[in-house]
Amino acid sequence: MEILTILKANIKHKKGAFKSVIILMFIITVAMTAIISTNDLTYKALKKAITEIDTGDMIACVDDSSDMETIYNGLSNNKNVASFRADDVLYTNHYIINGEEIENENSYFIAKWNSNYKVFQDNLHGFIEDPEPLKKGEAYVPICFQNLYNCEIGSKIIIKTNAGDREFHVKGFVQEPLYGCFFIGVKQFFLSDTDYDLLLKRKENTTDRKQLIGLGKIFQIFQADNSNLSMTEWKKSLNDSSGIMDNALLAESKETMIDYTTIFPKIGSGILYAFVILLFVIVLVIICHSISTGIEMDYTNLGILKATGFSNHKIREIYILQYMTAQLLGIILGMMSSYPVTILLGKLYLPITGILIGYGISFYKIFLLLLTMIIIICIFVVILTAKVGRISPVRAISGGAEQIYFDSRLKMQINKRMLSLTLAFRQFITNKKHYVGTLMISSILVFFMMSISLLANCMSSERFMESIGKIPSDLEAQLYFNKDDIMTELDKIEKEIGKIAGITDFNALSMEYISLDGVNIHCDFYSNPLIIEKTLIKGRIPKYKNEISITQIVADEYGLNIGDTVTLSKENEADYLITGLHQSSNDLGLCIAMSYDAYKRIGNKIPHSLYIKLADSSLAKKVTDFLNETYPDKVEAVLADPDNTQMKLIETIFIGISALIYIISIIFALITVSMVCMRSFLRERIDIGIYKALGFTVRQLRLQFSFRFLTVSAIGSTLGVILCIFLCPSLMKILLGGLGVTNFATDYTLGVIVVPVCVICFCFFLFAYLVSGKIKKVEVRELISE
Amino acid sequence: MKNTILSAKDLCKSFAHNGGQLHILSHIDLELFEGDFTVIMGASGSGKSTLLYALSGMDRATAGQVIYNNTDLVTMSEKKLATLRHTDFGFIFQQMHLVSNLTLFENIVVPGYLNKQKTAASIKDYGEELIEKMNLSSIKSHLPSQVSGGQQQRCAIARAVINQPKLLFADEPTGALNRKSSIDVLNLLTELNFSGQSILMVTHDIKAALRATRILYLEDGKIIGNLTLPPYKPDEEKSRETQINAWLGSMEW
Repeated sequence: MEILTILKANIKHKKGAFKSVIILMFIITVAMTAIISTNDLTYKALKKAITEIDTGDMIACVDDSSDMETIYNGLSNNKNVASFRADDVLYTNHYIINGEEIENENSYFIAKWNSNYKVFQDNLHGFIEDPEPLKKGEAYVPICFQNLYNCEIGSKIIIKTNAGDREFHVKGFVQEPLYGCFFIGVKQFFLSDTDYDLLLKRKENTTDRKQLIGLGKIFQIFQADNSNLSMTEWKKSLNDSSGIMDNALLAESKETMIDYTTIFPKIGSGILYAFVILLFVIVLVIICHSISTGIEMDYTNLGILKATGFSNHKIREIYILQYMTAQLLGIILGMMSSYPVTILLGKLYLPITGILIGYGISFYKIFLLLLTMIIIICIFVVILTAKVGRISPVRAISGGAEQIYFDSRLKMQINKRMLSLTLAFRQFITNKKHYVGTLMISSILVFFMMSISLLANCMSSERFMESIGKIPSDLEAQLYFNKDDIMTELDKIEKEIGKIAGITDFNALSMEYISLDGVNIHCDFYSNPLIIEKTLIKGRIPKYKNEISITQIVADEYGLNIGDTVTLSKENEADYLITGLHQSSNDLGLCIAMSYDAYKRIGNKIPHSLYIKLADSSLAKKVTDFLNETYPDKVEAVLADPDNTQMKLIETIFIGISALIYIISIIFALITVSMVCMRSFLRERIDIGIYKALGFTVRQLRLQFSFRFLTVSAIGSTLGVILCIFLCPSLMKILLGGLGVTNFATDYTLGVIVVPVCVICFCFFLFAYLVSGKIKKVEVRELISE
Repeated sequence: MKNTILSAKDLCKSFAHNGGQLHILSHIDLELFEGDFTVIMGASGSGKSTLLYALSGMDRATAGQVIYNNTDLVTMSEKKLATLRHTDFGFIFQQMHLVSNLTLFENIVVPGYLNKQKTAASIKDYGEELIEKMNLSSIKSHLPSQVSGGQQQRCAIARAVINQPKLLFADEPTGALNRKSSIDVLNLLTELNFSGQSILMVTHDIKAALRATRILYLEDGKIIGNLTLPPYKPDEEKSRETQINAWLGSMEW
């Protein structure tokens, strides 16, 4: 009962600290609950959707010209295969979606409508229960088309075939768990059986060399329950028995597809997780500051409590209960508010993952994490309140703590011209330890704000796209040359374009899955391997016929390094020397790169995509027309997407995350300043009275107060900048490693450094000025001792 | 005929207390004259300090007027009052109230820095002069917590006069000091008064009241006695004390 009475009194008289802990725990709980729940729900919904469409453990798309009999027999006889099925699919190279013309090799699958896929309601809140089957001229498309091509219901899709264009209209949007993710290049959409058969006929009638529609089979292969092979071993086993990997246009495991789909939510969540951890550190700092100054200020009261029979243990119990009550209130309020935030996050994820997540909270996981946080805070409080034991009741009652002598080497002369500033600095210097917490908090906030700015700048920059293997260009073209002619023709084209607009970059390339030690791996080959230079982390580019470059992820996965020799095979087999490490986001970083000359030793494919960066970009249209007119059957050139939809979405996402982090940081700054200000204010009440009696105006005193926080935040921010310079590359490596980016190019522009520092310093200054409004209420008569 | 430096008309001060009003000062009329060393005396709780703070504008009266330079301090804005505190008025508190993290010298010059009409150099020079006068030169770089109470109060006096105020207010300046330090402080105040400084001091110490040229006696928030004295002379201290004691006796002190 006595504890309860003191506890109630403490909460009543220290509302500020109590409220601050509630707000901080509230923010942490909301952020943590929303992130964990959204991630769990996304993963659960994705797994469910993948199961509903009966996806195999391995998905491989094979052209119908391949030796199907060998593949069928090989898979049937493989004891590690439980079952498999092959679904017919058409693939197309040239199409126009909602007015946007796209030419890309085998990037779009066209399938017959399968009712196992779910169709979104118009408001995207759920699925239509019994979607209508497609009629002639109608198409169901993945939800990501809304962002990629601004598609709406009724938007036009034109598929170019060798027998003329075929036009379809979007009837609805579907949840496509395999290829529906915004960032997966391959897409699949659905047509009615009639339309599909018509397209198939057009394909069959084609005799032209430049075939616009292809027929393939998508193999869904299920691993046997008793198979103990790892995914890599299983892939090798499948290839050994059937050659399916060597023949596949595309082959990925189900888990890789899940990884592709969840990669960006994972990065976003990673950032927010890191932020939540830092916020928790801030909460600990704030509690530390609150308890240590609280004990100092309550020295007399605590002495009286001890004199009246309260043991150290009981006083510490009161502290623990006080902070636990605040934490629990924050947690309960946070849990209640996290539900709508989870729904909001799910909606944000939808255009990226293409997956509609349900509603709910991962209660047990969050409960365990929050319990851990409570325990950590309680242990922290126990440690911090140890000094209660050192309070002497006699000394406390006879006038509190001992006189404190302030002295510092950093003493700055009090200056008439900068009176408020120099007095503020003196206050800071003589109460340094009271500002250590504030200093730490401002440095953590600046560190994180700066890191997120760096990440946002990096992710949305052209340089980043280059560094993960995207090729900047003014125009792109599909090539249909013979293997024998291609290099001569490319030389000719390069010279001709050079005369028209000048050339900065000219590169023809292609990709193929080739076998590295019997396992399929993504391989990019370039007519001009100098392009690899831009993504090179270590070593040198593979200039010669027997050289390749690998990613750090491949190096780690296969235990390879620069100087090692590997055997690669496709149609033929050859040994290659690893000359460098580069980075690429292709196949989540599991890929190798080489020159076209090097590739020719093992494969027959020819470069089919041409990327041209002009010296004079304004002539891109002229060059595009020139290519299409001069090489009507050999080259199909289009202008590069100037808006770069993918980059724009990444930019939008990171602006969103940055804004969220900035807002939370500002709230934390406000809470910190309020708490520290209030404590300083109570401690310095007499000094404020003295200054008022000497003729200082309220404004001058408030400015003095604010300058002190400006000084603290400026020092803290500087530490934050230093911290960021040292730690940011490692943090980013963790966050972006999953995307294949192992070498993070930090670009410390003035904006990246100045904006977070200014925001934090300004917030600390402003909030200190606002909170110090209480100075108005300090009466000089408080100095009167009647 | 002396010039009035500050006057109060029908001055009242009351506080809310137990649902009612507690009247501390009740309809006080008073004039303070230039060059006077006026002392307010009275029993504990008679409202001496409240009157001092109401007259100095440190605290606002509930009713009435405090006229200084033809301006009413009761209705004056907080900003103008702040200016007045560092231009025309000076204060000495019983508990010294020096700023704990400023050295003695800094404590003295800081209010001077607020005065826009004076340069930093002239304030520093005058600060040095005062520190010399207060016999604090050897400890001028010390912090308040490192010096004695008497030294602190001498520093507080120097701080109060750094802007050469027209009127110096002192609230029991010797109340927290030992005998020797009290005499030092009183000597300084007397010296200042002799040089023309107008002083209004609250005290309940007869030794301090001896220095006055005028004593006002306060009882239950009203001035009930007014004694005018010639300037203080050390050799007349005994007879002066007898005179004041007799007068205070008549006030039933």
